[in-house]
Amino acid sequence: MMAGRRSNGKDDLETAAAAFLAEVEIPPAPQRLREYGLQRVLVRARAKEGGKAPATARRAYRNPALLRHTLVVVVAVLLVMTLSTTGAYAFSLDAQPDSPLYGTKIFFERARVILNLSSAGDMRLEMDFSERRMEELRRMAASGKAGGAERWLREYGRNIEVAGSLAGAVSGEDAERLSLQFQEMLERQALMMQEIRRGQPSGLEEPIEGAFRICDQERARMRQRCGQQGAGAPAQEGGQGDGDCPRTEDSSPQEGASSATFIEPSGSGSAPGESSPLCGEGTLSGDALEAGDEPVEAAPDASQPRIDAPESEQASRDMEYRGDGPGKGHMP
Amino acid sequence: MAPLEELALRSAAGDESAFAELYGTLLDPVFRYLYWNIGSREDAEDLAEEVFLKCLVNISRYDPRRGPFKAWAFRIAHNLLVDHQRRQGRRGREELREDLQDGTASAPDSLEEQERARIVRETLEELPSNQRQVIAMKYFAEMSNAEVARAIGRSEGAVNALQHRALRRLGRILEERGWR
Repeated sequence: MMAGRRSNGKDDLETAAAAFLAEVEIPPAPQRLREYGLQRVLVRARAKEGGKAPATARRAYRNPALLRHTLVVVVAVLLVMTLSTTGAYAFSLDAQPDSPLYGTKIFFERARVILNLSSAGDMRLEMDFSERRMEELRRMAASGKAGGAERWLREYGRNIEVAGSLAGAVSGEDAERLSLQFQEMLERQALMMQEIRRGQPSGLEEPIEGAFRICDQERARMRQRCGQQGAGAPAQEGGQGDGDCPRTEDSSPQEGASSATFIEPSGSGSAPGESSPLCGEGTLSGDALEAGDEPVEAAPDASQPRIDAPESEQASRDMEYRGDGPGKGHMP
Repeated sequence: MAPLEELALRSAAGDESAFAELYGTLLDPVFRYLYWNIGSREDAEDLAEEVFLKCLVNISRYDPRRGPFKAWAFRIAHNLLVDHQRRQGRRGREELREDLQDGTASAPDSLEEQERARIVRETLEELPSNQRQVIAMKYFAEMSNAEVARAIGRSEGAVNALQHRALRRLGRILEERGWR
C-alpha cells in the first residue's frame, strides 16, 4: 500500500511535470535561419562535393596561419635535428673507446667516408682516422684505462685494411703520394706502438700486439705490391711500375736501416711460433729483418726492377693477410 | 512509407525541393532541441545549419528500413551537439548561457509564462545532459520515444527511465515552488 502510494506520488509528479512542459512556450527557429539557412546549406553542400580532393591545399592556401604554422614546425624540426647532430658530433669527438659516445664518433667517421666520393679522399680519411686511433691508444695508455680496447683494435684494423685496399684503387697523381704517405704512416704508428708498449700499460698488451700485427701485415703487403709492380710492369722513368708506389725510401736499403730502429716486421716470412719482440722477448732482430724483408728490403738498387716475390709467395702473403694462411695469428 | 522518408529518398536522388521540404519540417524541432541544450541562440543556429548540411551530404546513406528519417536526422544533431559540448570543454551539468537565463531568447507574453520559462531553464540546468537531451527531444522536438532512442543510440527502456527521472525531478521543483 505504501509502495502504491509512493508510486502514485511519483506518477503525479511526472504527470504534472509533463503537463507543465507541454505548456511551455518554445521559441521557434529564427526567421533568418528559415529564409536563408536552406540556401547556405545547399551552397555549402555543393562546394563540399565539388572539391573534396584539394581541400587541404585550399585550406593551406586560404589560411596563411596554417601555412605559417606548418613552416614553423618544419623549420623547428630541421633546427632540432641539426643542433642535435652537431652537438652529438662535437661531444663525441674526444670520446675514448670505453665511452658511450665512441659509437657516435665511429658513426660520424663512417658517414664521412660514405659521403666522400673519391677513392683518394676515402683513403686520406681512413688514414686520418687510424691516426685518431693511435691518439686514443696513447690516451688509454696514459690513463691506464684499457676499457673498450677490443673495439679499438677492431676499428684500427678496419681503418688500416680499408686504407690499404683503397691504395690499389687510387689512380693518377695521388696514387704515388698517398701510397708513400700510407707507408710512412704505418711505420710511424708501428714506432708509436712500440713506445707505448715499452711503458707496459696494463691490459693493453694484446690490443697493441694485434694492432702491430695488422700494421706489419699491411706494410708487407704494400711493399710486396710495390715490388710486384716494379717487376711486372714495364720499366718507366724511375724503374718503377705504374707509378702507383713510392720510388725512394720505401724500397731503398736506407729505409731498411731506418726501420731497424724499431721492431722490423717480418711479414709472412716468420715461422709459426716465432717469438715476438713486442712480447718482450727480443730486441730488434737483424735476422728477422733479413729473413722477412730480404726480398724487398735488400734490393741493392731501387732503380732496378726487382723480382722479389714469386706468384706463389704473393698468394701465400695474400692468404695470410686475409687471415687464412699459415702465418695466421703469429706475431712477426 | 511516411512522408519524411519519401522526401529523403527523393533528396538522395537529387531533388532539392524535397530537401527544402525536409528542411522546413525539421528546422523547428532541430533548432529547439539544440537551443534548449546549448542555451545560445547563435550557437544553436550555427549547429542547426551544420546538422542540415551533414544530412544533405550523407543523405544517400540513409536507409528507411533502419528507422525513421527524423531519428536519423536527430542522431546527427545529437552527435554534433556532443562534439560541440566537448569542444566547449563542458561536462554533463554545464551552465546554460546567459541569454537563456535572462529570458532574452524567448519572449513569453504573460508573467506566468515568464515564470514558467524561468523554472524550465532552472530545471534544465539541474539535469544531467543525457536527461536534458531526452526532455528536449521529447517535448521540444516532439519526437516519440522510439525516435529518441534511435537518435541517441539507447534502448527505448533506457529512454523511458531517463525521461521518468527527469520528469520526477522537474515535478519536485514544481512542488517546491507551489506550481502544482
